Amino acid sequence: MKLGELSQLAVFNSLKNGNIGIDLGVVTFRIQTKLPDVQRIFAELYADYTIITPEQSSDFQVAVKRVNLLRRWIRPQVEFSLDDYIPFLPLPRSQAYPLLEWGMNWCMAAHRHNYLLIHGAVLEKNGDAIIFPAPPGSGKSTLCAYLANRGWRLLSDEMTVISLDTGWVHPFVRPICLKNNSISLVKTWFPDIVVSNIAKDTVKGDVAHVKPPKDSVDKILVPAKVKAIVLPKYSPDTELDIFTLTKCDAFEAISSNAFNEGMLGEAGFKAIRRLIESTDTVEIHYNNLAVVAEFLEEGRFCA
Amino acid sequence: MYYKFVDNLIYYNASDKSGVLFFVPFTAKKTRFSSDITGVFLNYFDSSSFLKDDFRISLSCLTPEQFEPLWNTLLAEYIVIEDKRI
Repeated sequence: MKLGELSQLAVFNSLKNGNIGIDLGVVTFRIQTKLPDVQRIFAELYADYTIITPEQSSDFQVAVKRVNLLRRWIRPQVEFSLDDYIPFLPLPRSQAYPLLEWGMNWCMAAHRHNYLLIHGAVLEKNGDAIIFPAPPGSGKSTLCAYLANRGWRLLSDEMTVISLDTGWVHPFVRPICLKNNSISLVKTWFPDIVVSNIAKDTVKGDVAHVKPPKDSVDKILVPAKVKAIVLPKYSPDTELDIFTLTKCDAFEAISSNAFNEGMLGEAGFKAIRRLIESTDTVEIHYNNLAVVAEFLEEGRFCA
Repeated sequence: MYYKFVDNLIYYNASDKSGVLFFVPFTAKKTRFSSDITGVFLNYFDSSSFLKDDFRISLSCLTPEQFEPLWNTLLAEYIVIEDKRI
């Protein structure tokens, strides 16, 4: 059953009691929150996801709730918890929904060490997946939102999940996190997409989340083989420049974006080694997403 | 004093000859070297012991000024360790 098949009241009550969860393929989350805005946004952005029932176990039980005592009323704050553990400092009440998404990312990055986890987007077309590892501010999420709404299957906008056994990438499809100017840009390009309200003044600036395409969610259990690694860098003065990376430079680029390479030790080193040897890596400097899409669809990544 | 390459050393010899990365499992750290010189390293991977001077001679492509920082890196990153068997 999909979350969207439940009545809104049923979803809100289930979230209030922590009786509902969602299946993300590589992981399941059970969510609890009494905050009405978080309930509403979650119900909207995750409507296409398969739910897990109260009888089924979940990998993570998370909650977003108001901080008690004074901070409940004076400059109110909210906190994220995994079971009873609170891993972060509280955030302003207005940032409750992003806190839930960031908390879910943290759960994966901090605990899911049966995969190699890389900070980067990953999308697939015609059976070939491309990983876009990049630090914050590189334009990765804007590029990801553009491609995901232009026929590419979204596997993840934030965290690439790679099997240590096969080297294939597994979907971790979640709402795409847009920041600052990219929010209005993406809304202009794709007026029909569903976007959450904007949380202002976060550490990343203004932040909003975009509902992932239904097709991408429907294929949440379908892994993909990686064809190439593309390091994106938005550059206002450059339509598209492409730089091929050596294998060793590519290894170091992936390594610097890996959440858990150190934790995995030998398995992580071997997983990255296999990934680099089986793919080509380029860095692109760009300001024109349509030209980037054309380059990616051509599928030629080596000189 | 005799030395040897640490046991269980894993390496990635890039197919485009852009370098070699050595990974030491018990430190979980990796270090990059040029492909030119790591061909020599591979001769020592059978746990054979060697003297520093012999190792330096086998890397005849390096000047003494180039060799010493390399040697210090190999020791600091636990890629090469003192062979206490001898």
